[in-house]
Amino acid sequence: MSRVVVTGIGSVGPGGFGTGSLVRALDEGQPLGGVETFDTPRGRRREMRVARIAPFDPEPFIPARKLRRMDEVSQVWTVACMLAHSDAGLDAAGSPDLPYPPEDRATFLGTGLGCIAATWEYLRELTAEGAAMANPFLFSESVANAPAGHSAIELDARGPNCTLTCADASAVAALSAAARSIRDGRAKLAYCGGLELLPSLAVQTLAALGAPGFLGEGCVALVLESLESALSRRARIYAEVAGLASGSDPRCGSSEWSRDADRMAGVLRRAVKRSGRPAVRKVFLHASGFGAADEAESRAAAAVFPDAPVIRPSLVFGTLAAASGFSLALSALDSSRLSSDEAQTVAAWSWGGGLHSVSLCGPPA
Amino acid sequence: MSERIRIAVTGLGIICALGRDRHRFWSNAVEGRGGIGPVDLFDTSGCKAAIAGQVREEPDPERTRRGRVRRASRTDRFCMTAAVEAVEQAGLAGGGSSSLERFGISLGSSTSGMPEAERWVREGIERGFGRQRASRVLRLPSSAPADAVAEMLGAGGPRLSNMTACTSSALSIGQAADLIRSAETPGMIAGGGDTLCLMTYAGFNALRLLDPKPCRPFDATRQGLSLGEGAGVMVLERWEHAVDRGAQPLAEFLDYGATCDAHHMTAPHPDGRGASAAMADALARSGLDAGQIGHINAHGTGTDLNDSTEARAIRAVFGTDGVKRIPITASKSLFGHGLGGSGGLEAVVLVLSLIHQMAPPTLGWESREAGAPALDIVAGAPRRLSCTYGMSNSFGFGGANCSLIFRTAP
Repeated sequence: MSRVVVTGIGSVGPGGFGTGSLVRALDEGQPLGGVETFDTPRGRRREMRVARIAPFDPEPFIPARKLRRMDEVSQVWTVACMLAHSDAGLDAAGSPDLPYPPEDRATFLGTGLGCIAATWEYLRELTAEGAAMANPFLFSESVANAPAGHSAIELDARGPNCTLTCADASAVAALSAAARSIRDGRAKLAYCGGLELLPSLAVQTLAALGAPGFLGEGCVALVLESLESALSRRARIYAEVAGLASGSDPRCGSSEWSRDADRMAGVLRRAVKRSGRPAVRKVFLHASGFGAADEAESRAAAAVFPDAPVIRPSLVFGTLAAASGFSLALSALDSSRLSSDEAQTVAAWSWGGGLHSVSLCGPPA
Repeated sequence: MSERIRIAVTGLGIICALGRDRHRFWSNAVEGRGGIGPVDLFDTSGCKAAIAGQVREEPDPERTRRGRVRRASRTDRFCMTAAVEAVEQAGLAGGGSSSLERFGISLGSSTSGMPEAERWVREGIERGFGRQRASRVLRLPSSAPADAVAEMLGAGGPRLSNMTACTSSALSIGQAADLIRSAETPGMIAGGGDTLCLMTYAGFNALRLLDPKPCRPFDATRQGLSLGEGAGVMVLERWEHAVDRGAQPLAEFLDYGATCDAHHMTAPHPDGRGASAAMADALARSGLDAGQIGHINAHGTGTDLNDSTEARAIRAVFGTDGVKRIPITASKSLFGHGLGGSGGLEAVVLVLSLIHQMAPPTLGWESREAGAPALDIVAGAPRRLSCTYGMSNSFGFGGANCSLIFRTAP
């Protein structure tokens, strides 16, 4: 089985393009975004902080004629993949120098809400104007795997192409599936990560459902490669994907968060054990914003990592942000400063009870 | 490649327009009864078609009332019904809360709670969204069916939800096998489901892909697809785990191939390059030659482009002579295109075909179009099989392709 490493990171977040803005925001420790007010049922109003991605121009990355056929989420994901591609030192798609044939390049996207804006718009039109007037463009862009389909076309990635959804934990689920795909020889390179954009109707609905008071948008794409391939092309290695673990809490209602600290601890322990690096230097916690769930998470972390510093990116970027992708990006960046026998662990829980964890360790010596 | 850990199929569950369990489904399928008829779940006025493979036998409420899943969507109920049937056949039901504690769930869906969301939007437009009960869209995410099944069964293992269009549940089966082979879990409940809804019906109508008559995959006169709904779910287990607990393997899951056309959002690559690569990869990873496949359950939607492309891709992999000796069934002619659930539905059909050594007929097929590869389409009546290995194809929007390979139980 191949060892898997992270060689490229691309992000589109509240601070703009690139990972520098993520690191700065985390260092400053202040919540991003601004307060928005939403109507909820029975005439109540609720204030929510929302960290939205900064307006951006995708034209330097994607030709205008193609942008007209892409919804905003597809644009954001495709640009993040291109940034990661470039960050990994890979040449432009189609270049004869690209070290991997198209068939060896996979795509694994994780998203909780997916193409919700296109879906709402399509449904509104459909409801107002009838089935016979359905807009074929909006329909095809409302299909949840449209972003991964578009990025595969732009980057000529003809390997496995998969869109996973596990609510807030989607990016970690996608990274785990991508890493398994490389380990199992299904691909040599994978673009993977998380994506979440929040149209106002989605935030209004989440507000009415009692979501925590701070939501965030964003997108992160990572380039994963086999260690062997990365070394052969002398790529910069941020981190090794060393340990994966997943489980779930079946007692958790399908619209609730797990409060089972023992189950959470079990998943964290398995990720660390599988990494073979018991020296965990930092833990990125999920911090959903729901009191009982977060208390359980803190207990789990204290039980498994009594001495490791704890980071909660959602306090800066909001929950949902990049569906846990920001934690992955920040952990991968930070892991580049670790030795190969030290690790960081990322926890990602989803509402409905999904539990995912990944341990990243420093670049191989 | 994964270390070769053998994976047993120990339970099957299906609900679709042909019946709400595998017995009723199979007897209807081999008798060539079509499940495609008038659709009355929503208003199809103005659409080219008004038919679909609608489930008429609603899920058994006694089966889906287990657990404490509230507000289950139609897709949730389909998946729960099929999952209960599968775990019962696997001998995992009723064994106490611990029997499935380590099992995971991997389900695919594309529409999920969309019919419920459509009602929510309709009423929101009429009354204002601020007055809408937001809890009615809780079941919209494609992760909802997996969550509902896990809660109902008490499955505490890994949980994955796939929403890769029409390959969703085929990929879910493949990735479930990956999780078993990576020692994450001894077993997975895998497959998927979807429901008919106005959104997809109107969308395929807008793309001019609906046939006003029941679909006729691979036939020269085909005019498009018929939509369908339902769920197909199977229990996959590490072989030794199944045998040790006294379960009887029904079949063996060998491996899968997954690729992407990277060509167009809604149209397949004209050469079928991604489809043929998925089939070839599945064969290679299963350690098989093309000549060993004895039956194919084709994606076979009935659209002009899909069927011509798939036929060329099959010929590219199996050869001009090879395709003449492989009986091919397109199950969508029986129950319609179940979209995100189709891969699960058709994987269950393939395993049933291997178990019974019988291929159900492809309804509506009479002749191939001029210049098309000479595939051996099973038509008119079921066909007796004599084979060990079978393949199920799923292709979807976004250019995603997935081929699964199963073998008969030794």
